[in-house]
Amino acid sequence: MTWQQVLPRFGDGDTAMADAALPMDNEAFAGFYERSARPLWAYLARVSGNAALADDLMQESFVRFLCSAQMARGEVDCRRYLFRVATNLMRDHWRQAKTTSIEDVAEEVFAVKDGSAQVEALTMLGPAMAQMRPRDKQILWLAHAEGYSHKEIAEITGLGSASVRLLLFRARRRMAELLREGSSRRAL
Amino acid sequence: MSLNCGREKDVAAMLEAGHWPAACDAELREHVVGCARCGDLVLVASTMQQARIAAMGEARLQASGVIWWRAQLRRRQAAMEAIARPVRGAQWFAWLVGLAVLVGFVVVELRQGGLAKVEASLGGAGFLSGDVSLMVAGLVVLALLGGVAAWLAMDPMDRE
Repeated sequence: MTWQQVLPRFGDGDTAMADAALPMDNEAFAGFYERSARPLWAYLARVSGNAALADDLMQESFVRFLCSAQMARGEVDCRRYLFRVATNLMRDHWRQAKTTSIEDVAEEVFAVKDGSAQVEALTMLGPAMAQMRPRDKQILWLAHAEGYSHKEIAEITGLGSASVRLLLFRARRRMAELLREGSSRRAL
Repeated sequence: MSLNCGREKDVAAMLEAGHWPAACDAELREHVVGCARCGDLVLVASTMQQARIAAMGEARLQASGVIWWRAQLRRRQAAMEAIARPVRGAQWFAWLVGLAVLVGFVVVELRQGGLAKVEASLGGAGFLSGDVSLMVAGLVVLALLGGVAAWLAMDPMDRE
């Protein structure tokens, strides 16, 4: 005898209960996913520097977002909440201090692709990002790639708004230095 | 370098709208050349925006239905766990009651064994011992049945 037999309403395959429990219906989620998955993946991949990790963290972020009981008010709030979940997951990943051998890094990370200014930006940005602190990378990406305000970044990262302003100023100065160093090295 | 620049917001707005540098007035461009803070902003923001566009094209997305299904599965597992928790408590309680009754029964029997000897020596019928034994045995059976019922009600996965 199982729960399904004892309490059929709780355990059967009927998805009505589960659907009701999730904060969005399937169709609304599909639309939201279509609009926010790529920016989220870009954030995770560029900040972590690992495409495979970005795949895993993105899936986990969406699953946690759906499982969360918190009902966000609109798409902007949902998206901010999603970035917050992803930021926390990335932080948890960094806390599990482990070294990655060069053999473990996916080949596509090193692959040079055809393209234009975007490829050049990636080539310049990669080495500079690698020299930044994880938190600074997060703040910089959220501010300049995603266009979040200081207040929104504070909500996503859990930092104070004033701290974000100062940290962003320092991180941007450092990043600009690294980018200039990188481009002058490439010019030689 | 100062923490504030009066034109930073204008530059940021131009960058965000994609108007930098082509659709931007010459005065603002001149300002950016002379202002280290705005120069940093333009360099970092434009590099990151280009990198974002490139990275978004690289993303290999799973179907949204797969993620939806995984979320439902996890949500359902969490709900099942929440339901199973009180039953597990009831199961433990039933076992504890059964054990307590069993111990009580043994103690009572031992004591009444002593009493029976006294009653026998006094020529009594020993009626007290029989009633208590029946009641205790009934309680033991009830507690055991409660435990078994709770155990059967559990999902086989939860029993392990």
